[in-house]
Amino acid sequence: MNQKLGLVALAKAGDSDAFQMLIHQEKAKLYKMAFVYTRNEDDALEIFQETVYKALISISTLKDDQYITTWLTRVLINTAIAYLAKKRKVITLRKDMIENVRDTGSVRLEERIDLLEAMEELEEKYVTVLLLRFYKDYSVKQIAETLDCPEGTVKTNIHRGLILLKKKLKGEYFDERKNSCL
Amino acid sequence: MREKIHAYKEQVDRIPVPTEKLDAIIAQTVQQAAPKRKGLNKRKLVYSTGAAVVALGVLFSSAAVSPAMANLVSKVPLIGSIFATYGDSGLKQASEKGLTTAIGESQDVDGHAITVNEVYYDGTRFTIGYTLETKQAVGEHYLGSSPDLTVNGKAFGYAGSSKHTQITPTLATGIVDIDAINGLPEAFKLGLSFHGEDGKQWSFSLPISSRTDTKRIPIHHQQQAGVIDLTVSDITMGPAGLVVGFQAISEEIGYLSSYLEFKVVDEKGNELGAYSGGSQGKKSDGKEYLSGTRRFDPVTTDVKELTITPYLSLPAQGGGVEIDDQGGESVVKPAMETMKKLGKDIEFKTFTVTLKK
Repeated sequence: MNQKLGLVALAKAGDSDAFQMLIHQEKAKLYKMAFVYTRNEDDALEIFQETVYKALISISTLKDDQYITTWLTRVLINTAIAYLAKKRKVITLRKDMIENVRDTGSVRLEERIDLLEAMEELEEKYVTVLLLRFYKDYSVKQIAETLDCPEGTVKTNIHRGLILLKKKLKGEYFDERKNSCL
Repeated sequence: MREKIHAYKEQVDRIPVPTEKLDAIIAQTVQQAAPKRKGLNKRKLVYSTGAAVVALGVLFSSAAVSPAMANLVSKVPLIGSIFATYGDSGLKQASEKGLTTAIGESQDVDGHAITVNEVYYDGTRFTIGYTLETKQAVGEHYLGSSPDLTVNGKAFGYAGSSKHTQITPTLATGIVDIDAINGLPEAFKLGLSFHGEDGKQWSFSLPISSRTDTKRIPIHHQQQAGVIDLTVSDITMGPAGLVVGFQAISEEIGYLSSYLEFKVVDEKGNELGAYSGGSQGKKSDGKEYLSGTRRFDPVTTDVKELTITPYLSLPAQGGGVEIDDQGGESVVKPAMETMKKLGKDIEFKTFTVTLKK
């Protein structure tokens, strides 16, 4: 039994100190994932808070202690997607703001091609699988378990997400060339 | 594109984390949702293994820091920094590798605050670091020699050592080493109670779980020296220390084997720094049965062989403390003359242990 499993066992038994220590171990990654979905601190903090609350009241339902990180990730993803569904208008406004900033572009190309920004405009299902695959380094199987969906669907979404991302990045290259001709 | 995907991970890693806000959210959310903590069990320390069980080696030492150090340091140590600053060699190494657990739980009693700063627990040692901030100067013996412990609500008697460092007249740090940790579970709820000499009490309840990156090497070395039949059963190596485990049977009553020490030298001739140890014993059929551990500095990974020399380190004066099953403590008065006479004839053989990779 490692240190984390010991904490999980205590947390499941209602030990709030152990729960806090677990969350402290995961907080940075959870927050960063929330930030990827929202691209602003206030929304990311709200998602983080909601995630901590949901995890606290339901950790006793965790079936396999060794999957605590996967479980917390899933709670965060579900929370983030639900949160974004409510906040969609705000996200659209932010997109507009980003577009405007781009149009002023005197920044170098390399600095402007921001993958996070590119990914923000993808559908959430693609953001989620790409985040788990390339930030959390999860395997297809782990992603399927985390999202409770078939591995085939995960593979398809990763593939489509990458194609869309590629198009998006090419679009930026194209925009840059266009700008440079002006 | 592949490079871009790698860059993605880096970009996510570079997202700034508002740690203080996250910490506040965690604390508030848990405080609002979690049930109130149970009060601590305040029973006296009791050994639970029978009427004749004694605990020896509860010899607490304290070391005051130099006035020069007190002048240099005027700031409360950061959470998770005590071991790196005031710990022994093993703690410093563990801290540098980020293997210790920062706690940061604080309690204020009438303006005197104790903060549990840092904890380290593995198969070789269990160590707690704390700070004491007081309204006015209280002196280095204000908290006595050691806190009371409970493990999963049950009193836990222990042998160990404590180090007190007075940083300023109103700020001190303490490091408590609990030895003889074999009876501790891998994960448990620690009750930690400090008692001020003016009656103030600070009680903490902390989840503790063991690191698992220790390595135990069975030895089963046996030798007879004088009246002592010694078995060195194993050594356990971890990032913060090396522990020698032993059992000793003596036909003479007098806790002679509790004064067993070991000199441990690696193949390059470096003697490992020795720290406190604990031992428990019982009397039966006219013999003494003792089981104990002694802790040393950790060895580096390139060390392949250790040479161990057991020896008796008889005290010039004083003795150990005996704790009976009712929690009563009494000083063991060694029959010095008898012990010295017996000890004179006792000479152990040096033996070598290979550290298999």
